[in-house]
Amino acid sequence: MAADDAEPHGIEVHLDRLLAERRMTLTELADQVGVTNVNLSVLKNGRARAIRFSTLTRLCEVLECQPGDLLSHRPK
Amino acid sequence: MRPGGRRPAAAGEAGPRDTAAPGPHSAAGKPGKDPLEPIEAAVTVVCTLGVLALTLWAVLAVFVDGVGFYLPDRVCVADPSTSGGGTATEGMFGAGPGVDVEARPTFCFDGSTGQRALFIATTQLVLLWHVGALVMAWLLIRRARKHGPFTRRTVRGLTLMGRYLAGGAVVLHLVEGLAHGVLISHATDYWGYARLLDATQVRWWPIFIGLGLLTFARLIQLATDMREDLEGVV
Repeated sequence: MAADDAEPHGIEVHLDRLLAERRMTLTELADQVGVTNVNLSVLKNGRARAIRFSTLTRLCEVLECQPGDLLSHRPK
Repeated sequence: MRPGGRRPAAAGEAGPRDTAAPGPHSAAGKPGKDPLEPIEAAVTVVCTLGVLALTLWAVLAVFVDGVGFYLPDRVCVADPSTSGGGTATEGMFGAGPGVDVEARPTFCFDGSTGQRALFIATTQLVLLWHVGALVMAWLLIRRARKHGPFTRRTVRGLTLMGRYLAGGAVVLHLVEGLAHGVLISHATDYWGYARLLDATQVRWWPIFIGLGLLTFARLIQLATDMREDLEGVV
């Protein structure tokens, strides 16, 4: 399904910023978190519909951040 | 499983959106459980036989006299909704003592060109409807094979086919009833449209199969939504 068909939401993912601050590539993060590059790219580009708590936990562990640093809500 | 302990990425691994297409191993990971069988094999065999028969008929029509498409000289219309009998009928069919014969009439007459065309058109309409259903089924299976069974394309195809079968059977009943009524009224004095009101002449199976396909399309829609949700989970 195209991303355009997905239900609209106001959640923004700041993976780009966190990666840049830590001078880390998407591939390195994917390796350390244990998810595929494709899935992480889907998350980074805002095309994910949901994120597992387990993935969020690993992302926070690897990036040494809180979920709030990774995700934010932008009111419409 | 520990958090985040899933398999790491492999080079060239399929993305999350490439999982819709079916394969022989896609149904719960069990080999030999192709979700598109056995209907794919059945439709392929019938379509192949149909194309072969049509090709043979076309070749014979070119080289053999008497084979081809002609308007018949006489129109023969059966009225399955009317029956009658009597001493003459019983004698004609050699009925024994105490046996009643109920015969259903078939009216044959030299029709005008218009009547013969109406007769042939009605007959061919039924054939075309069957061929149309077969072609739709073939296209639907082909698309499901290419794009996956749990896609919006499949839902649209199933819905279309359900409407075609259920609606087509009703329309066909009305068209046949009216056309035969016109022809029977030409041949006899009695009201020739009884077939229209005869429930036993309605093609009930296509109607129920069509309604079943419409329900099945809604189920596939739910499954498609679930698949898309799952693929969007990271």
